[in-house]
Amino acid sequence: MKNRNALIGFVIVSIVTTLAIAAPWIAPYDPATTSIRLFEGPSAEHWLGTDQLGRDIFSRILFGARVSLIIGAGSAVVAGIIGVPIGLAAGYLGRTVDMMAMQFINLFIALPGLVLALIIITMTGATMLNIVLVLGFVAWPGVARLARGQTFAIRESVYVEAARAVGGGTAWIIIRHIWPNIFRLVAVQLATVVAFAIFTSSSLSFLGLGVPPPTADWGGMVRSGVDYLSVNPYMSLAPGFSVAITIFGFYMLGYREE
Amino acid sequence: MSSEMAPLLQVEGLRKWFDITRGVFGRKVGQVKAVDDVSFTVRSREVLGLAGESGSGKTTIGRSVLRLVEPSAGRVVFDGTDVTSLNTADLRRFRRRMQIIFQDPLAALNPQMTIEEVLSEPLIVQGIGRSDADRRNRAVELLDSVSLSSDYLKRRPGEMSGGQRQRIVIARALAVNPEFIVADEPVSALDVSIQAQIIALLIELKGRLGLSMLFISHDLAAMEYISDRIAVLYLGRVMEIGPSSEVCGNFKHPYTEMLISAVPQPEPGYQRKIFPAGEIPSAASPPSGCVFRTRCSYARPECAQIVPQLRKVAEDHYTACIRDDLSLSRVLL
Amino acid sequence: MARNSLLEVENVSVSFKSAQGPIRAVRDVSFRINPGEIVALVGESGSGKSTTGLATMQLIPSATVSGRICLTRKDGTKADLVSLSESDIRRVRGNEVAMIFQEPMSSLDPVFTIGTQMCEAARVHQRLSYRQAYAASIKALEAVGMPDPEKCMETYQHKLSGGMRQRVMIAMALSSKPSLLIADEPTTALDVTIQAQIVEYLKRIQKQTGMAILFITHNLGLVAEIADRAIVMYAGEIVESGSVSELFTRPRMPYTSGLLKSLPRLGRKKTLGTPIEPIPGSLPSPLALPSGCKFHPRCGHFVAGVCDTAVPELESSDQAHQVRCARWRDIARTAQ
Repeated sequence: MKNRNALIGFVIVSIVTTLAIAAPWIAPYDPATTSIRLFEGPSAEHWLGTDQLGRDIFSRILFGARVSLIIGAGSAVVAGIIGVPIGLAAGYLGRTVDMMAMQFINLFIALPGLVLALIIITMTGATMLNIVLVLGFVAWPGVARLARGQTFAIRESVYVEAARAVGGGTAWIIIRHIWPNIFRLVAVQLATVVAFAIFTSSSLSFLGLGVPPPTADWGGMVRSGVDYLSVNPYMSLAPGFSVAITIFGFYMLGYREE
Repeated sequence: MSSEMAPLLQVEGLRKWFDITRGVFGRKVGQVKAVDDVSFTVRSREVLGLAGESGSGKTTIGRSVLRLVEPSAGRVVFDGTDVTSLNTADLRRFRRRMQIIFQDPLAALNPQMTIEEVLSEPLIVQGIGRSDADRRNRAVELLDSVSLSSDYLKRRPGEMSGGQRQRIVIARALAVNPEFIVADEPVSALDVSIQAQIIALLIELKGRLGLSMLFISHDLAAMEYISDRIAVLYLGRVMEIGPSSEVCGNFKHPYTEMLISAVPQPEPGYQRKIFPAGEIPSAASPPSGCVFRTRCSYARPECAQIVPQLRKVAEDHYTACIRDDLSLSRVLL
Repeated sequence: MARNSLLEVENVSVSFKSAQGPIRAVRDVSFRINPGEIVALVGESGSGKSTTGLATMQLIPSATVSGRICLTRKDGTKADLVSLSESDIRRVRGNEVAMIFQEPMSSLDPVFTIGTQMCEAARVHQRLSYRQAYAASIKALEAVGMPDPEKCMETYQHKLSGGMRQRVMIAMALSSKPSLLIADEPTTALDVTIQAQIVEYLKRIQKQTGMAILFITHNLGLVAEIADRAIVMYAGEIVESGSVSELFTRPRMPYTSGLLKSLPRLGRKKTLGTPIEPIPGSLPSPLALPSGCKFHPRCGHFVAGVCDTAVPELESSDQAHQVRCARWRDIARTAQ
């Protein structure tokens, strides 16, 4: 079952990633170029119609995928960089380190991610870098907690004791035994961080705290389309669906049976 | 006494107490005395068996000797060096001299690693061998010493049988050319027909490489076979220690009598003369005086008062029982 | 002449589906158990001994069982367990055939006291009042050597040691007075002193009740201690069977004699100087069984063209002694 879910996720994520990378070549129009053909419905020239400035929605979706994926992947990298070492240290060293790390992790998990991100972005300003840093910062405790639990289990294994018995130090054991064994699970957890980041960044954009225009991003597109829902619903529906399918893909990729 | 007679390993007053904690702040509510004042020696090229039921502390002793668990008190002196006081770097170097073989070979091998990686690990960690080729040659040599072909280098533990895995675990322990090996129940997870192979291999290696060994087991028959001397443990204490033929055939401690009479004999018509009574009490609240007295059919009131010390009953043979008037049954055929 | 047997297992095969094709874990196994007899089923991992025991009671839902398993019921009628309906087989399992296993933990419910579970079982199966059920449970616990039965009734399974849990399981299994007890490695997880106690109590109860026991084990010492007759299995087949005294003193099958020679024995090293002789090689994988005799790659008496071509028949070497070896006559002759 797990494999089928992961396969579905993998297929969706691969398609979205390919489209995002290939956007400059396959997009029929420049995403920022305006025209006088406003609010058009889907047609042969404009597959998903045009928006209030006459820009091609399909092209903007393709370029918007890049923004979403960069934010998602960037946040996952940040979450991993903070979360994995803390999780490894807490799980392997145990005792006081573990107790302190866990209190810290639980404190962060208790904070509502979107609200925290909202406050920090409001304070620091909405740039791509800020968004990535903030979302990564909000998401690391989950990664740390998973890494800690897995590390803890493997630290107790007989083969780690065997490595200690031949003289393996902490660094050796973590690099040679623990990391290779927890790597997969951490990667899977990071896929859900990508989904979380795309979801949250879209929400921020919708609230007006997204990547500044004219960059095409899905959350912002949904927001600007809301005012014209009766005129051209595709303006909101197309990016909304894109967000949904991408998040679904990453969650499936990161689906774990407990 | 000549220098040849000096013991290779000397364990003195070894204790391992685990705290029992409760509540959020880890309030200490008691102690489990897993190992309590254990002393013994292992001579060069000698195999000392540690016998006992679960809860006897035999595994903890093996781990403490190697400092895989930190002893609470006592000294472990190996060839003149106090292992208990070594710092991290010195301890790492020292691990070349003392190695361990585990009970469950599947658990003792990282499932992700190939056999070549498994056998190279000690070499890399200890800085033995200059190149991958050096290490591969050594790995082939090690496989050969446990009667496996070099075909196994690229395999993973999951693709091997239990007996083959245990050979790999033994080969890994031999990689650093140790003088001393703790064998912790090395055959009890294996099938009957494989157990004898591993015991024969250990005896062969011991003779060929001049190894000394601490052979930990609950199987007294296998232990008598491989060991020169046997120490019988109960609730973290030594009950009896002596030459293996003496301990198994001319035992002086009531617990040894009980343990040996419990071993099922593959002889039709064998009748057990002693019926083992009771169960091992919790190490968190051991009986006063002699810890075995609650199960002992020879116990007297004074056994609750006096903690018996090991006393000599014959050359090299000691028992921790205050009664010297016992004639224990000879259960052997 | 022969008494009416209690259990007749005839040509039973058990196979499992696997990704690499069907695994025939037990092949063409036939044996019988007489009332009041203790029969040991001996083998190593992969021998099919536990599978045979479980399949007898139709306890492996994922397996295909063929053959005939005929049980003489308490009322004297005979029933083929292979073709019995699920509800009928459940009645047999509760009342006529009881089972105990290596790991008693999983069979006890952690949220109820031992007493609640024992009384409940006694009330359902034997329609006793609570007071009667309580008294019966206390008696059953005493019979298996439980030191303080009243206290045990009030505790939970995790408070008990492994030996105590196994005693509870035996007491519960025997409460319905079964005519057959299938014991699947019941003492393997226990210390030798506790094992000796449990075996002693089993023997004692067997003498009192006259039930039959199928004792499944890998431990040859236990076989000698408890059983009247033993069946040796290797790689899914019976390779030898006979009375324990015959089997241990005059084994015919090289596997059996190899096992006996590979066993270290207390007191033997010094007195007789007998070295242990390991059986070479490893156990065959059920997915890649050797041709002919399944033991031939490890056998010292192997002759090419004889042992690796046809699977030898299980022949009678004596009355009540059967052996599956193409060369047992030659081997017996040279041994003399």
